[in-house]
Amino acid sequence: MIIKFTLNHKSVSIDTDPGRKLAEVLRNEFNLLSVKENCVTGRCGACTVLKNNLPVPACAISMFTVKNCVISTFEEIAETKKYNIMKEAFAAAGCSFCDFCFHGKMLTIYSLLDSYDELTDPVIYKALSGNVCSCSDFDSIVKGIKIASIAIRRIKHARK
Amino acid sequence: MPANKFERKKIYYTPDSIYALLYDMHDSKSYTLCFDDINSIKICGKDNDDDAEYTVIYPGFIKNLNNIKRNENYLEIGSETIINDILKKGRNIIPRILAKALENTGPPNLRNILTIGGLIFSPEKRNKVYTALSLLNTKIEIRSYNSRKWLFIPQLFNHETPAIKPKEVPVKIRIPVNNYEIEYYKEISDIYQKGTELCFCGIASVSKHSITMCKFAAGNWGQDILREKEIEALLTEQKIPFSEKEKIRMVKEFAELFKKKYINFFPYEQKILINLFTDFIESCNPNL
Repeated sequence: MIIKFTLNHKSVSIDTDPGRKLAEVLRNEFNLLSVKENCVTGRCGACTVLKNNLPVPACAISMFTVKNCVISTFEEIAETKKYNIMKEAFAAAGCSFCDFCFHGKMLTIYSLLDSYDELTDPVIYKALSGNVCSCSDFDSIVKGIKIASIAIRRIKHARK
Repeated sequence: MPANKFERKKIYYTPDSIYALLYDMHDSKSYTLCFDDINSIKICGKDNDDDAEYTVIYPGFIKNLNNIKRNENYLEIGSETIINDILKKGRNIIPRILAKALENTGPPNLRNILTIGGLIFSPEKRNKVYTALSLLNTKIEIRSYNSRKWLFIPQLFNHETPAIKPKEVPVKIRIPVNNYEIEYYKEISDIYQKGTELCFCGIASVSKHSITMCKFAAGNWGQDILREKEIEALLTEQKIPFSEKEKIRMVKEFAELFKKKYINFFPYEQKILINLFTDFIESCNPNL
């Protein structure tokens, strides 16, 4: 079955078994190694990608549900200004992630910064509850997200 | 030689309209209906091993099944609506017990995939949402190629007939809009023992210091939904706050009835449910 979708701003089509999982296809066919397969049930968040700007576990998504969707991986957001702000904010907060959870957490935080204006602690805790990894403490992640959101808001206000 | 179940060619249908979906289902002998990506694949019809082909139908691209509508009397949710969409768009509309049940179905990343239809029809996930919906007098519209019917949620799974018959598909759920003064939702889960996950929902309307309507239900791992109408009748028309004597009497009656009727519940679950019922009664007191 030929499946067409948008991947990292590019329109792509692939002839594959529609029952294959998105994470497997992204890694093996498109060589996007930021998508990692770990639990294969969608609970750990290591394989997080953005599907229509919403964070979803790629290991749980079958290819036939991706038809005509917009998929973004870490490779796309790594080139944005917003990501640079996030990187600086986490450095300022003294927060570092392990290589395994890093890409998934970044994508979740990226979409979180898009969707909410006021980020409270419970909102951040809830949003990150799908990315399970104990490599960094939650307090510094929360601090980093808050710094990033303030910086992004300032840029938005400056533009206005 | 009959084809091996695992070697058979799978055909995937992703219809764009409800008529195409109904036609696809009518046309296929046996098929799998995928409500969403996880755990909610329902096999309908008789699976004939002689068939070389096997059909998978995914109705997620149908716009009519992906919306939320509201009018004065009820709230209508398409069966393919994503859980996070329901929580975001219907934040101020949906009843609190349903919102809590939906929030507890999994991490936010998973909730971006799971659909309400999938949660109702998947036996593993049904527990919380199904229990909440059964209290709220929710109706579900089930359509087939040449018929359409509305069923109350508790009528779906009665252990004798399957939830959906072959060639049928749930289209939307309709929740009556009512304001309940008391909405109670508690969930107790043990991650190490699957069978001990429990949820308890209760709703009550109060006017002039007396309970005019009271309903409660408890669910464990999707197999049993406990609904005790005798105790509900006992609670209605009661004046609040309850006296200690009244409370003890009601808990005692509940415990006796419960132990007689529901042998399937583990002793641990029985204890917890009685405690939750006591907590629910206490939450009906206006002082708390």
